[in-house]
Amino acid sequence: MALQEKRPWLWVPPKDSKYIGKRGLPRKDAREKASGKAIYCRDMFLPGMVYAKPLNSPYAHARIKSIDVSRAKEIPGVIDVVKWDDPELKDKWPAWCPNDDVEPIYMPYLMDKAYFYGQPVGVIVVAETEEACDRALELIKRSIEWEELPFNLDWDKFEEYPPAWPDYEKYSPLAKGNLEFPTIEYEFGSVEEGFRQADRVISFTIRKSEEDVWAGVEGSVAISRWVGNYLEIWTNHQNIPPIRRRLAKELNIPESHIEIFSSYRGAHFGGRTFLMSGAIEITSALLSRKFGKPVKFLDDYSDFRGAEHHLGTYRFKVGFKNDGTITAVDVETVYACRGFGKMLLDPISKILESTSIPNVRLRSIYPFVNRNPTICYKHGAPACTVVTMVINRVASELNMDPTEVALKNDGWEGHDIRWVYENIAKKHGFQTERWSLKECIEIGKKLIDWDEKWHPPGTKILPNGKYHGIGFTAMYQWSHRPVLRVQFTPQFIAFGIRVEPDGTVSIFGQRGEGGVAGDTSYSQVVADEIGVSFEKVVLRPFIYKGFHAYQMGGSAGMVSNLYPLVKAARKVRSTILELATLLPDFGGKRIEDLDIKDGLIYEKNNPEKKVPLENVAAVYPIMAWADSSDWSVGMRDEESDYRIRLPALVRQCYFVEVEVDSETGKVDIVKVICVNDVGRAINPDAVNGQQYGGAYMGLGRAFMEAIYYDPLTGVKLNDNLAEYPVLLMNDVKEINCHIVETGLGYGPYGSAGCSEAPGAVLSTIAAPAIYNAIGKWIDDWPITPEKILKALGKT
Amino acid sequence: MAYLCSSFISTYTENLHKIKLCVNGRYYEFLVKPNTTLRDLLREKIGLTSPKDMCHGVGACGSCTVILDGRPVLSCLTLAVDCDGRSVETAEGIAESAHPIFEAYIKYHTMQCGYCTPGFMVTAKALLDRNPNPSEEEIREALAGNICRCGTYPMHVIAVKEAAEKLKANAEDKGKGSK
Repeated sequence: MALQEKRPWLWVPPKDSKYIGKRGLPRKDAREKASGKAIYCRDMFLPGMVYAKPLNSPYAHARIKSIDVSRAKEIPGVIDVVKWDDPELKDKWPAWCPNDDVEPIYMPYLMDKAYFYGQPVGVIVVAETEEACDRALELIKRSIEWEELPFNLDWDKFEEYPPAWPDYEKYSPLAKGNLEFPTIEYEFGSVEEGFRQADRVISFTIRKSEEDVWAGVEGSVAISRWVGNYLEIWTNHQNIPPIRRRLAKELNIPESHIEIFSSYRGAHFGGRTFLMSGAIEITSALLSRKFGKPVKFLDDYSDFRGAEHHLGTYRFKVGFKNDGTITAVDVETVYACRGFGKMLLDPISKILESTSIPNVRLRSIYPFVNRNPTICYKHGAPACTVVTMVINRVASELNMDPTEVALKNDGWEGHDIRWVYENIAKKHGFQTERWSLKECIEIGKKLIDWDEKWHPPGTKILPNGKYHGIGFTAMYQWSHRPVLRVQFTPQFIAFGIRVEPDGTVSIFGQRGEGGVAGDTSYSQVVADEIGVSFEKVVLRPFIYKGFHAYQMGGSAGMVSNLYPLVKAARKVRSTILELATLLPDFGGKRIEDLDIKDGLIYEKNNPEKKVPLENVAAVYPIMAWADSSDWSVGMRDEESDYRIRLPALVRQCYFVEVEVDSETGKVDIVKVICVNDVGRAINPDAVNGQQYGGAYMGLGRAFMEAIYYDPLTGVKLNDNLAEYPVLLMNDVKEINCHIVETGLGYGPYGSAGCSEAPGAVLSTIAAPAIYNAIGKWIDDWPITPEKILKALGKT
Repeated sequence: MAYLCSSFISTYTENLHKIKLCVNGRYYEFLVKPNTTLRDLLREKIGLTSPKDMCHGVGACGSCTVILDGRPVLSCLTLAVDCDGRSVETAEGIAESAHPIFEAYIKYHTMQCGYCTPGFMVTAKALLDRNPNPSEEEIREALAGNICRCGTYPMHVIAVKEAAEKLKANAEDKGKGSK
């Protein structure tokens, strides 16, 4: 295949496309979801099914000294209480977080000890009803004699405490004492040289002090049923292929004996892909085998057991010239423990990926604390924190407009963005007349009326007596290089497409459907590429039919999946036309003489001569598949191999306008602007959904979301939806979302994706907005009213 | 239609209460325990999956909202025994009745993961039942207790406004027809 054909960004949609980029199409899943008839895993019942629930630790760090489960077993409906040392299962508990792809962590899912409040510990109750499980767990909790162990909640003080996860060294080859793995240290360029070139050098520290958690919607659940030697399993987990692989490995059965059904999933964000990945599914399968019944394993607490991994302390030293050119960034971070191994956390990656700053250094340490493990969801906040703070702190020091600082430093790995466009993008065939960041910023400034509203910090009091503030941040759009995603995905991404005998089209590609409208968007593309109506194309992603789509909806799902999907659709189209030449209707015609439109095959020179697609499909089997294994070839240029580190060409920016009550510290979020260059939007309504949806989550993280711990006991104080603060309908007055389409993405048609970025980037915007309002930097996040009052000297 | 369910949980035969209720226009009789919630009854005995469990029964999320005798209630905090002789409407019933709010919810992408969507739609329908012409502020106020972690909030306001317009147009058409 020619290199050109493997460069999907150079592909164009068919000329008569009706659906790609179209607004107003109904979501394929809309009727099911609005009516309540969509089935989520928690809705599932099987005949003879029983329930299982784990005990969650009521202490921050403790060990079970003794336990009495006899009374719990007497509760009507309780089938058994399975202890961590169950003779049949003690050597079979799954690894709590295996991460086979990076560094294996084989700490058992169920132990007699817990390292944080809420960790599954000690027992699992199996009962005929959920209610019986809950009653038994309450009794058991009271029967246990605990040995309380020293705990530490403060990552900055880890050296003062004994190891917070003392036995972890046994499970992880990298852990040592109170550190989860060795210090990460690397340097790009020379920061010392960068500081020498600088006109000024500043230092500052910020701290993300409290955790934000999923506070999600549908707690983790898995239902297992054995049919002879075959395992059927229903799960709301996001990432099916590695679960299947783990089940086979740890249950010692062939993968071909496992059927996983993926259901609709209630708001699962990112990190569940890793944290306790597969442990719930394997445990339900073990219990199902032990008790000879289908077992529904319910992990009700899962939404409060994992925190976004930006929790930590960031110490900055930044050098810059008086014109706003940044010459060096030195960052030291101390991150709260993660508990799942070394992956996916590089806080300077986005500085390298989206700026021309030539000298950058990182030193990161990862101490254990007795808090929730941290993980990515709406991934990328740690690195977004670094970019937002560097740009805005430099701008404030120079009294410059931060949008100008962002534009001045736009680039990639020390190169100016124009150099990137000229020397790399052009070589790969991109049209580079447009400057993505400039375009995004100009649109955003206009929408928020920046030139009128931006002002020196702390200088604008509104007629209502409140401070007025306006904040800005910008970033590259990172869901753009699917080659990386291919590496992370244990099986190559693949789609199958079949034209059914009645002329409808089925797409096969199992994935955990999380709500990003993948079934709708992929159907739009297939409909246009084949030449059938959107209504006739169906993707039901729940059942495995030989093909796994890329699982993560937000993390480059669209661009990753489009590559094999378009290839498969084009193969199907060729097959249809080839088979059509065999029909008597088109006797003597060649493939190139025919075309397909609206499900009708017709002669190009005689459009009146046409036959319905089903005339071919009813006679011949029409199916094709394609995978993503050869994608990286198209990413290489002739002179050097940029296979992994191709530069991002597309950008995004955000603005937020706030009013701050100086008496109460309360912040009103008045207006939010999201501008995302997604390269090419397949479904603009769905893109908008990710923009405003991400904005709500990001701003919630920025201003309020926090789990609070009792410092004396290590107990969480607000680990439920009644007390954990999230943004609601009235907390943002106006959100305006704008899509830019420069075609500078590496996906098919130049697409770049959008999904998780707004949630991650906007989680950092509170600091510059509040600084602009009150004239003081608040370096302790989230920025709550108490912290604002403290900054104003009013507490 | 009516049928009798012998017991809610077979291991308990004492303290069961017989209730009759109408759900989405159909009539049912059940024997229920005193602590059985309306949500569990709807889900486990009638098989209606629209009342969801997001906050584990603390009344914090609105995802289990149903309409009880014309008022929106949290079915996780409503005891089934208190529903004897009463009428319940769920998202399934609203969808089947082709109420304009259902089509508006579909048209405006009011869902992403969709878990909270039925609860929002039921709350919105209850608002329109008591106030067919709500202002934006009234819509926002009515939906302020529903949590959507996907952040679909802006679209609900648009959808409810459109449904109100449709209801108004339908009423006007009806008025013209009767003249």
